[in-house]
Amino acid sequence: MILARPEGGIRVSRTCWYVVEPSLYYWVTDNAVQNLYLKRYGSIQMDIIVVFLIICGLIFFTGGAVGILRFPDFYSRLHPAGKLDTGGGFLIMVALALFNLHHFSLSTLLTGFKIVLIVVFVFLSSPTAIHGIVDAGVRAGLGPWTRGEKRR
Amino acid sequence: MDTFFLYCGLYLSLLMVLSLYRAIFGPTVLDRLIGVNAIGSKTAVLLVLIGLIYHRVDMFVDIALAYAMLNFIAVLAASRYFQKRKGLFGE
Repeated sequence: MILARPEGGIRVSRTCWYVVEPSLYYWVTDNAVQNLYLKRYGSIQMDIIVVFLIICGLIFFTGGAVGILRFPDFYSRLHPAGKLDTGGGFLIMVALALFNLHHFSLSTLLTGFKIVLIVVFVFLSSPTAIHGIVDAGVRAGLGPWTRGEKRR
Repeated sequence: MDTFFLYCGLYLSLLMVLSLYRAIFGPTVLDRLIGVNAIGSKTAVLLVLIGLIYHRVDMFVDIALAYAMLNFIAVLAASRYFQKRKGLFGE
């Protein structure tokens, strides 16, 4: 039993339909429609890998967001902001590039390559930006936090 | 799979709101810069997710690349600007 779109939609592109009343989804048991779903989304092993990678990336992002809130000092807050955001973004982007390869053709391969290019750029630029922030803090004279001080 | 991507996008937006707390209430100016950088990183990921939900990946990947570059340049420029001011913390 899968979820299917009703007929009467306007086809916008190869994989996109514009449906006027989006609330008319219904469950079907027809085999033909199930084959349509599988042809559109591909195998289920890649789905499992993609879901696992996305959940790992979301765990990294959660750690980064909670860490920004809970650390006691400005300098220690930079650690989760720089590292965990970059690592989580890497995992999620790799998962999405893999998901895009369901219909294997040259265009989807190039799109996956572009997504990996975003990841490479973020790997280069995000620690540099964090270093810029630390530099500004050091030159302003902000001292680090020692144990026993009040939380800043 | 579409529903799973939608819930992932919603969860990512919730993490962005958590990071916005630091951008509003940060005791120093550079704390706010950390919050904005975190929000920008998450936005670049959220854009590709939205592209997969709407089945138009090519357009949204280009937008995500442009936004990642903008985020990097903005944080660098803001930190260099605040380097030259006195009285940076304790305001």
